[in-house]
Amino acid sequence: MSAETIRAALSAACDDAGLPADGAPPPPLRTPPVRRRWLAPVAAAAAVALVVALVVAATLLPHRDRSAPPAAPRRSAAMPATFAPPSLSAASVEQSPPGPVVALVGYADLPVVGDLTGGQTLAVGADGRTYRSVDAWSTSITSQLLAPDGGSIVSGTSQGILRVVDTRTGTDHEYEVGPGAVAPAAFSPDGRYVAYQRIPSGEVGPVCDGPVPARLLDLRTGRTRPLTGASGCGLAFAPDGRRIAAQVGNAVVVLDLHGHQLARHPVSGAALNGPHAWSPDGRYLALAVGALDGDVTGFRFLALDATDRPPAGFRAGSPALMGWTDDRHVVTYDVDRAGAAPDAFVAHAVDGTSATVVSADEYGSGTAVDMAADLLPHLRTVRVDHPGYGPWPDWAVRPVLVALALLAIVAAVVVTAVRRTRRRRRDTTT
Amino acid sequence: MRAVVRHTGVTVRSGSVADTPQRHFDDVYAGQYAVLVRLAYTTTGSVAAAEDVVQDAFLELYRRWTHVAEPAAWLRRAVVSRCTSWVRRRRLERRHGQPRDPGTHPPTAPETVAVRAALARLRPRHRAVVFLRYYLDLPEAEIAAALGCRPGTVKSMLHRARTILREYVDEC
Repeated sequence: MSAETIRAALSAACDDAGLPADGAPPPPLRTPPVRRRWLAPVAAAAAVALVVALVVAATLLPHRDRSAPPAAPRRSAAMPATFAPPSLSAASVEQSPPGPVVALVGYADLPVVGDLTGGQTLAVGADGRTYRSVDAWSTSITSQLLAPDGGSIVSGTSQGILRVVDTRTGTDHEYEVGPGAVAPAAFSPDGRYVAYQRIPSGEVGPVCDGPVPARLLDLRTGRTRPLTGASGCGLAFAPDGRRIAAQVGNAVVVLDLHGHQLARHPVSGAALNGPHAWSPDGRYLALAVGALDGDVTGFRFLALDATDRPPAGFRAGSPALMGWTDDRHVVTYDVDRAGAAPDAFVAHAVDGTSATVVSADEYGSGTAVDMAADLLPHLRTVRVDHPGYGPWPDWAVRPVLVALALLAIVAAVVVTAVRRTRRRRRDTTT
Repeated sequence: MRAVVRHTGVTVRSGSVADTPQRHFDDVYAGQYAVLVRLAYTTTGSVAAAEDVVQDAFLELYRRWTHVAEPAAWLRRAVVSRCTSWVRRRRLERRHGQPRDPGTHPPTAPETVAVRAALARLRPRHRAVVFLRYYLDLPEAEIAAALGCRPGTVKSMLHRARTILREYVDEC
């Protein structure tokens, strides 16, 4: 059988089937216009560029614009009716300045990670819903204070540094006042001075017993000077800012800012309590009953003028006095020892005739650190359903962005390889 | 007789062919359509299936037009591949009792009976090899490219096809 025979047979079979060997074929079927092949590479390039831009932006996050004008000082402040829990997602004050801060609340544990992080301090904005973390130095912080206007936070560290963060701009300034650990004790009413102590290693706050002299830091000049007469705890500036009270042994002493003793008031069974002990009218000093025994059961008041009659005081499980709303009312952070009621910020009449809950801390582990004294007279309570923790903190955002960038790069490489392989196969086919 | 081509979502475009790539495609279509239908018919034994397969191959070529360097070679391989698949499906349909497609019955010519009967005994790929070799007169390398195999395989398949054809024709 020759090739010609086979060819003739094949041709004849096709002819018999009605298949013309040539001539005009039927009109071809066509698909819609050919897809634009450049679209995919351009889209991929745009995606990669976007990811790179995100990574660059994440790298430059610390340089974000913080020069925005600070919000005008607020003469009104709000406290949340119920405090929000601590959160790992809370942005820091430096990352996202909250503006004036009304309160600092410390938590010993964070969700999930617990003590591993050394806890968290949250700054609550004057709007009552903004929460920011102040825990950048969580493992080395000794104690923290809030400026009277809520515009700055000072943190003492075990490295002998007082670090002041502006809550309006997020900028910080460090003052080396060591050696050794230091703990801020009180802000002057105008926010210019910070009284602090050099404390023994291992302590976490001002020392109440023993000869530990206080010192004064001028935040404008950075200079420090000793307050030789103040060697105890419970430092409190007078409303005029020119005097300071301190618990020294079984007496409360009043000094000028050079350390000269102006008055001495023996006390028993009570001790000067915190930086807000002095009443706004300058007539009384708040004393925590049982503080020397480590078990505060209430407050009584010391009249600086012997002819003056002090208020009766009140009973409360109050480890700390937060400040005065007026001459007749104070805010304390009360702890219900029976555990029947949540810890709470409570406004007490100084004569014990009334007690009103300002904010509840249902999470229990919170401890009030400080409140902005100037904002208390304008304090109101607001209900907050959605607390604002701000943008994700840098430490959380950066790894995510970097991971996304790497993922995009790997995906691009894989897609390119697959496309190249397919193209090769197609070329081989043709 | 022209088969109805079933392609969901495919539209028929009868617009301008002024642009060069389109004109080139039309040239390829005009030059290759008939011979590819004959190749497909030889492989499948069905005119309708052959026309379907070829139209389908051209549609695919149209989509890939900018990436295909040798349209004629690409089309041959696409047609042979589709024909092989069509025959395989056809066998499965018969095996599972599907009603047999009556297909097209071309008029029977005495001189083609023996060859057509012999071709029917070949496997589809063997029929394609025979057509490519003896009808299109392609070299073994191009046949191998159309079938996606090595030239040695083409030689083997041609030898076997010729043997079967010779035996059958001799019997007749």
